[in-house]
Amino acid sequence: MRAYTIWIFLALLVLVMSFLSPNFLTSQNFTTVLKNLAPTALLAFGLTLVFLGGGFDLSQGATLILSATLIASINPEGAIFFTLTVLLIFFIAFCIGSFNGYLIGMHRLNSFIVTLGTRSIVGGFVFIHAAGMVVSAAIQSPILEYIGLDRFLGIPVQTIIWVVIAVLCWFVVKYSPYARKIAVVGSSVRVGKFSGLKVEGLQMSTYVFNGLLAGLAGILIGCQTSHIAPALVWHYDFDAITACAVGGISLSGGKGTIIDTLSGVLLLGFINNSMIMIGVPYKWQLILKGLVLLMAIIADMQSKKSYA
Amino acid sequence: MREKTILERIYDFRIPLLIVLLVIAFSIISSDFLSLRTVNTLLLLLPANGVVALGVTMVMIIGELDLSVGGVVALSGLMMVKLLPLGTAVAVVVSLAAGGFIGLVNGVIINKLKVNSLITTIAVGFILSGFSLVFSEGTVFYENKVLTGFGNRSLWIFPYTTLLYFIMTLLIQYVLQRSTFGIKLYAVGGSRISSDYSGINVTRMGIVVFILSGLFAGLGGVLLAARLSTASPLRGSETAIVVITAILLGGTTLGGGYGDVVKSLLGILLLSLLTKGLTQLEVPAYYQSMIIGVILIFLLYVGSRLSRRE
Repeated sequence: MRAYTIWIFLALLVLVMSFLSPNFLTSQNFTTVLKNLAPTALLAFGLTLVFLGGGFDLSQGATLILSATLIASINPEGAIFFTLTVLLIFFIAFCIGSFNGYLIGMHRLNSFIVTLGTRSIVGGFVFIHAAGMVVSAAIQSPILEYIGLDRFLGIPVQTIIWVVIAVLCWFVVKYSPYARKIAVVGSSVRVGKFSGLKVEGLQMSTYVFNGLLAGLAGILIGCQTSHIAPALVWHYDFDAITACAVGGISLSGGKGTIIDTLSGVLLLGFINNSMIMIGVPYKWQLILKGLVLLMAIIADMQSKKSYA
Repeated sequence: MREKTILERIYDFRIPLLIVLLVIAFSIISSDFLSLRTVNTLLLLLPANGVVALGVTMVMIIGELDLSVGGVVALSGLMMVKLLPLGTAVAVVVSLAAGGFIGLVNGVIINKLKVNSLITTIAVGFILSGFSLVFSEGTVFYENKVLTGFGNRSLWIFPYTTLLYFIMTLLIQYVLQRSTFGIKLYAVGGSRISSDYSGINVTRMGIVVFILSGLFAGLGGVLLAARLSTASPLRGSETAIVVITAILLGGTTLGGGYGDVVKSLLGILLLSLLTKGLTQLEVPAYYQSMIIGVILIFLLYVGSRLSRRE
């Protein structure tokens, strides 16, 4: 029921906007929206798994910025150098995810506070690396330019990457026993333990997965823009949380599919796009998006009450 | 109850001991550290985060968390500066009331609608950052001798704002330990269900605590704006993490039902001492936020180890 509501909302928004703005219902605008969704979508898919396991991650925005600043400032030319850089970034993202996962999964620490701390530490690294400034490096490497700005068969490469990841995540969450186990642990750690599941390892793996996707999202951003203002990119993780909440991923664990997340991501992407098209000032965009998140979490709680 | 070992006795006094050790370390490294001037500037740094910690401590005693305090600090500071033409008293009172109102909204959503306090206050904080930008998109300056005088003048080495903060801490400590409100607060934090069965209005306690947290965060914003004679929408971005780290450092725990505001004062003092010393050693601010992150995670880790052993 909930999932349909979001798709109906999305259809209504597109309908209304195509009357309000002549530039809205064009293939160019839709291509842009889908392309710009790439980082939010990747973060939201990673977060879906974390939410499914009953956790929370506030550090993915920081991982994203670190990875974006690294790839933009290293600016690797040549296939081998590029592959090595990407591997290095994935390794760092893996370490951040494992660090979170180890403390939260193995030591049962509060996921909000741990990832708030990680966010501060990783964010500190970014500011030290950039000396508190906007990272600005002209992209010279053709590989980065291809990933960031080019098209393949008329579709932006970024869009292809996030759609492929979406299909993979959808398949994993829907059909793999791994995702089933995570959902069990997410809805009740006790039940998970009594059914003989390795609760600690399962929860830890969701953070590793999420860290890797945040690393990938950062690589896409680093390839696309040569200016990375560390302070601005914080909003990507807020968008990802909102997308999950709007899509109907339960913030208390155990419930949610990638299709739900996708509906939230698309709705949020088109809301962002519409606000820019109508000319809503940035400050009011923040307020509106905050209200959307607040309503989504309240709706999540109300739906749970009606279950019980 | 068994006797405490010597190590456990030392552990109970770890915060004052650490404060003394840090003072000694900093005065060895930097020869001009140990002076009345340093004490005065250090004390001047306490109240802005300290009063915010008063409210957040009570929220933590009841077993919840408030991450929107940073947004309240920014908003109330800006509001006060913008309302100054209407009179100093009006500006201060309205800004405090705004903080209380935001706390009320948090409290109602969390306690009436039963939504997770962390995610609610994150969302509310995001909305507040938007409203701060509505008031001003950059730093605003103002001239008001009464306010900046109160924010910066000192009685010998004690700034007025710090004296206010100390008095409020003692007052709240007394309320927590001696009044029925305090007893109920610890009871609800200890066990919601049994408090509910023993006739405590759990929902109302939860809402009151969040109103107080908003009110004190508003006061934090006002004191900060009074000290710096400016306000900015970017202020308060670190408040939540610093305050929570300080409170945990002081010994109040995340689980609820335990802790007090004197502990938080010691935590704030220790953290400010660390920041002040690092600034004096010319360590850049980004390292300081990293160090705070490390301390926060370390405290959580140690806390969980200790509670497991019991």
